[in-house]
Amino acid sequence: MHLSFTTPFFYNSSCSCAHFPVMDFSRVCRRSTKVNFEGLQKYPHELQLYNDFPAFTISIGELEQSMAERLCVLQTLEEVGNRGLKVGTEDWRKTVIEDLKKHNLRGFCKLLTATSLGSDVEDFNMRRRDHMSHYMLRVSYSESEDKRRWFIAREIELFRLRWLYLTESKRSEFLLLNNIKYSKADDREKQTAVKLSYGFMTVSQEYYFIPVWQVADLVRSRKVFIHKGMAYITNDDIISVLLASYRATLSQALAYISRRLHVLDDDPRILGLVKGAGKNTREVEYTNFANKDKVDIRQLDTLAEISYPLCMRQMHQRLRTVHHLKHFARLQYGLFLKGIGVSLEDSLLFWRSEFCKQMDVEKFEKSHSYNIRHSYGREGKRSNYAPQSCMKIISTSVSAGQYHGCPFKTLDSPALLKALQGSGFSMIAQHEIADLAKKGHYQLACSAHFSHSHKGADQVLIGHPNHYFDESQKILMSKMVKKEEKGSSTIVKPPAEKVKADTPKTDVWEDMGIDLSDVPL
Amino acid sequence: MGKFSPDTLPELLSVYYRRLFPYDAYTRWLSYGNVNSNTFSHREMCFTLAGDIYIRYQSFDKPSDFENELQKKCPEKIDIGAVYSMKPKQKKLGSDMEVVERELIFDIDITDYDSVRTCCKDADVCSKCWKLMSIATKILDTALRDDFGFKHILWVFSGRRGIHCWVCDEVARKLESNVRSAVAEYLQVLIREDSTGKMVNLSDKTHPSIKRALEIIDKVFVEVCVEGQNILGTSQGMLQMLQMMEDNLRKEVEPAWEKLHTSVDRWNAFVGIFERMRGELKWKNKHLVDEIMLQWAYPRLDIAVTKGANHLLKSPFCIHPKTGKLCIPFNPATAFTFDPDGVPSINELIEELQEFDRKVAQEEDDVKRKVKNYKKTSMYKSMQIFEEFLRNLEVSCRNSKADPMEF
Ligand code: SF4
Ligand SMILES: [Zn+2]
Repeated sequence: MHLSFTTPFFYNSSCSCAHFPVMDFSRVCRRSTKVNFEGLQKYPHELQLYNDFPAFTISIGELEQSMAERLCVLQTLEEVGNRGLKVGTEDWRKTVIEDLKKHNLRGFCKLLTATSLGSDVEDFNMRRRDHMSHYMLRVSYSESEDKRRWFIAREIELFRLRWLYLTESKRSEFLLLNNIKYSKADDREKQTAVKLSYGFMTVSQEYYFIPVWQVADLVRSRKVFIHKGMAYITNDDIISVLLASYRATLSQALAYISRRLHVLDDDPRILGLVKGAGKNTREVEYTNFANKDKVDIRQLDTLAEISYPLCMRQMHQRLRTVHHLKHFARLQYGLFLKGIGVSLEDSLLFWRSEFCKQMDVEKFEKSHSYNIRHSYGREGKRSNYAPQSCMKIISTSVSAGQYHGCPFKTLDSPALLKALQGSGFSMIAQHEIADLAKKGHYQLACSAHFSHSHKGADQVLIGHPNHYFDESQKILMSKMVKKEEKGSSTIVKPPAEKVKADTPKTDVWEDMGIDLSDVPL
Repeated sequence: MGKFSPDTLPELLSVYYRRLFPYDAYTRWLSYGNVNSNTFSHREMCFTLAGDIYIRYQSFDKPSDFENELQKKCPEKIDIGAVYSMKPKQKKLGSDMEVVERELIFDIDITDYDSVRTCCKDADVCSKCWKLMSIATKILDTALRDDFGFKHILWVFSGRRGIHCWVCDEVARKLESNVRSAVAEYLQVLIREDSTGKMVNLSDKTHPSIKRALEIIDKVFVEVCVEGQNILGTSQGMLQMLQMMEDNLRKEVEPAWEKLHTSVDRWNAFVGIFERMRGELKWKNKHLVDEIMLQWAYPRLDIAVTKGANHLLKSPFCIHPKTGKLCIPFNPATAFTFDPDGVPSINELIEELQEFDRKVAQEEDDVKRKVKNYKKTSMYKSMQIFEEFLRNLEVSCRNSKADPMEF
């Protein structure tokens, strides 16, 4: 395998001018264990700022592997963020690492937690892969504004995570190695500042001066005292400064690469690698079909009211009122129905009875019944499509007049509040949900919606609409059982008649003890 | 002098743009000392013509082009946009035009104070509610200068219901968007009301910028809010505040208020009870007096305007089409005594101009020509403010040209 990649491409941020190094893939090692161990000097620290271009040889296989791994790390960060864990908190970093372990990313786990892999060779290799994969993903994610923003946000989180795992001495070492120096406020300066800051600062602390432009986030949250364009920051806040400059460098570098992406067109192999990254975005799979064919379609209206997440409820209501749904909504809702246990036959019956209120049976059979059978894997490629996860639903685009997608994302606050009106929630609850949605925490909004619909239930984090449904049924079921035990004659609204087999925990959302009190509200 | 009537606007505008608009100073401002020749020519200008016709993405290669176009089009409104990486007028569909420079701007609109003012409604501003704007000016101006170290700040009365602030320092113009939004959020202390109607919750460690704002507010709060806005003079006003109090505080305050009759007496009684009970209060109420002062008088910014670098903002020296009033710079240091009613309207300006012409008709023509037209009118005072701003700005532009490392 020969690869040469000799295009002026990367922007070297360590010097002020653009720099055109050569990435040479031509000498491909079969195994890269034969490393020269003065090599570790190249990576004297776990953490790096990726200022230098990776100039060494690596096998395509290893490259591909490490890109995939890094991507998995970044996606995990995103997922954990979506669950509302506040970046930087203890919970957040533990959850990230636990999740990474589930994905078998031992190397990255060790690297991120600043633990040695056991030998210099392994550490060196890991640091190199870190370096390499970072650079390759820069290219993959430079293409569009959206991707660049995503990549930068994740890399920043990653850096923060790693910083948190460094000991105090490792941190100073890092600053020293990267030649980062900040000037300290001397006693006189400190005294003036203490006075000016109405006692916000204390004489006993050490402070560094940093221009406010470099500590935007600390300024934004009014965490630091600022005077004449200078922020007085403490040792603990240095990470914010680092991140700000790292962010600036990254966004510059990505913009630079994006303008040169066309040079890749000449190299199909690199192009393939770069383009391939991020295609197979991980999703929560819903495969819990153990209790199929149990839901009676005559109960759907009741179920929609008591056990559907908002997305499905909306489509259901829409279908009942106008007797039609557009393509993507049919797909999203249809697969959900399959997932809750509506049989193919029932599903056909259900759609037919609605659609035929405004079209003739023949037309329905011609244009729709194939698709329904197809989604049950009875036509075409016969693949059994899984119900769509929240992540999938949230990321599909929805235009006006369409009813699929996640309502917490697609509806603006007034529309969402309107949709919540019939829910019987208090105004405060409605606003709480709308607020979460507005902040972009769609799944958290959905989780709050769940809690308010199921008073007294444990906190459930929604990752999949079918999960919402199953959890709801579980709760209603247990309530019914309890009431029966007590011999009460009150009738609980009937949950679907399915008896949930005690299936092993298949989805990852199940047992996350997440503390929502950390969510910035 | 006659009252302004919108029907006469087109005619008046044509005279105004021919004889009064301060082209020279205005285009010097937007050229920023010509340090970079693109600063002027890549600036987006937007004209609004009669009938709400917007012409966006206009730009002018040189000041005289701007002058000619303005006289030709006679826009009812002029908005200033950002400086772009290319000439906005050459923008084509799909071409990516990036913002390279933009003043840091703030927009304060009196209608955002509707829940805390009782003197007027909607877009009207009287001298009483102007006081609220003047507090906002003072707080913001101090923060921009002392905290961020900005020096070139232009304050403009929009001609009707708002004030605009243009921070023109080179650093400010070149701020990255995340820093821009950080500055905006730093200055935005009030957030959406919580269930008790409170818009701010202080902690024990109050940020110095808020403490300073409180000092500014404290000096005039009774005069401007308690008295001027009569905030505790109505049952509605009292209710609004009572809602923010926890039960044991409310139980003391409510009966005390019932016995008293003026807003000032009630406020003083409340502050007294609060001080006495302070130790027993829960954290939500621990800083209630400060929080109320902030909620009633801290600047209410429309921060979307500040955050978006490509946001348009109404230009100084245009005429408000509804009121006919001139959009003029004012001095933040004397904002408290500024009278929005005293701002000249276009018809007054033009009458003054004609009056002057009549008076000196006998004198030589070149005497007349030597005097700048606006000096013959009541625009004069705010032009002095603008000229001074400009002088300082140009000095620092020259310095930064000589020493580009300054920033
Ligand atoms: S979060 Fe998921 S389940 Fe909830 S409404 Fe959105 S897509 Fe549906
Ligand atoms: Zn008023």
